Amino acid sequence: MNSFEWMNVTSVAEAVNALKSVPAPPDVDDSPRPIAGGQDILTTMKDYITRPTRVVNLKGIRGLNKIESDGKGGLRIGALVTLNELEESPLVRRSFPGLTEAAHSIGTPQIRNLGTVGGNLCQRPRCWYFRLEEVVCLKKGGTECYAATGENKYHAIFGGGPSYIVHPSDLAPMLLALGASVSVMGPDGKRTIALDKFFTLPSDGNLRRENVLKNEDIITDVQVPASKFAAHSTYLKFKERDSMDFAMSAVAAAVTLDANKTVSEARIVLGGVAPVPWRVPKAEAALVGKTMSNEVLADVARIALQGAEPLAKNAYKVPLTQTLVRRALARVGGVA
Amino acid sequence: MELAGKFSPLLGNAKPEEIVFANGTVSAGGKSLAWKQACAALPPAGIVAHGVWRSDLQGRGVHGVVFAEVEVDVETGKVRPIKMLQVQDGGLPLNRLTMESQINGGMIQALGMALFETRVMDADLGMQVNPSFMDYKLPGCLEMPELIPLIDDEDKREVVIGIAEAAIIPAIGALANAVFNACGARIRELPITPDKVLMALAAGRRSA
Repeated sequence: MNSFEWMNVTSVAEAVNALKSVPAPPDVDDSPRPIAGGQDILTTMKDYITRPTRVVNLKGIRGLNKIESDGKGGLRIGALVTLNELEESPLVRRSFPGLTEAAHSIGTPQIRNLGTVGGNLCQRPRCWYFRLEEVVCLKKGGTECYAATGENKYHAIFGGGPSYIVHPSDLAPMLLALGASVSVMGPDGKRTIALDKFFTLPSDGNLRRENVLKNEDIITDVQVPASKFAAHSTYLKFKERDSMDFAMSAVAAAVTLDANKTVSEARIVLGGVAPVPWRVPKAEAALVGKTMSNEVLADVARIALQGAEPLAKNAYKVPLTQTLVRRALARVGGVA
Repeated sequence: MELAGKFSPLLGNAKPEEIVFANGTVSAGGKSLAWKQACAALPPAGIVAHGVWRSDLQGRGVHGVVFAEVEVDVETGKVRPIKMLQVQDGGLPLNRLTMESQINGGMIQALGMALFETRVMDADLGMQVNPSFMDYKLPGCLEMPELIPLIDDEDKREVVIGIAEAAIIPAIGALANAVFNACGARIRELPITPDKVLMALAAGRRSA
């Protein structure tokens, strides 16, 4: 780890100011970085993936660690809320059960006690080439994505190219399915970004980042609106090792069922298969208007994985994710 | 003899060569010390004793067997170990608790090799891409099956051998056979991970 300046701040404005870097650093990953739980950034600093000259401690900012009702049945979740607080919140459990499941699926109790909601959304990729100190891949300013033709068991089957990372966040697919947005504070003030506009594909241009945030931006809170389908939401994560693992594949699903058990609304977002949480609108459309049955679910799962482009070593993700889509929908639809 | 001499004052100054170690007691001339009493009489700093190697303490034909039961989710490829049982001979068991722990440890190591652990090498870079314990996956507590260690001490050889992690040799085969028995997928490359099981099952369906 390089030496760095540690700065404690007590307000969002102070944090944004402290994150400004003048003159601009030689490389984007030399920029000052915010720290909250530190569960991801410390690992990237130890492997010289990020080399911030200044680390800005957000934990002293008051008011960002609350889960509050928005007064309309939705939630406002502060960026400094820990994953454990999210998992344990009765407010979340009652109205957004899928979010409780997503929080519970992350890491270990130790990691969830420290890791925060904002940090979870801003994690860097787990790609093992990216994480190797010795390898300078596309995402570190190099010229090659070594996963494209190398060891790509855990990599993308959707949205890949020129980089084939998958987004590691478990909250992101579920929050996206629930229609959430994030509030961001930057040098030009506050803005709200819908989560489906927050994450960026490598092909969108900026290979060095996984979302639209600029270096001086910090997430202040996440808004989850009330919806009819929130109560029937679930997050189904498949881990190669249950004790602690990132998703090999995951499905966030939410449905609204009308009185005769017909699906009137559906949200299906895949995790662990693409550089962003991957919503599958065609599969959602195929479910709307149907009564759930094993045949309907098999059909929806098949449609959800249409267009997948597996690499040499991850074709298994197609049948695995189809299984998860069926099981997640069966769970929210009450199909045995 | 040196060791026996330490007990001599407690056994009526019996000659060391008359002191008998047998059946959990140290005795001579009609006097007897229970094993715990005898140990308590030894100096706290420990004892130093000299002996010579005897070829008849060596043993051959050490033997053991491992059984494994697993569940396979044929739609995800997940292998869940349910129960492992090892019967292991190691000669004369000197400490049954540590021997059982050692048998458990062997089964756990075998479980790791069979289902989780591997060094992933990038052929072009010549580097291991998973050199951390985040990516080199050791089994954790949620992966543990019920472990049953049984010491096989029914023979009368009176030899001292040791067991090391004897389970590793048969247990990996037992787990691979259990996977085959559960779902029909014969995986010939370790570790037996969900991707391999799913692809093997799919290949089996195509060739059926």
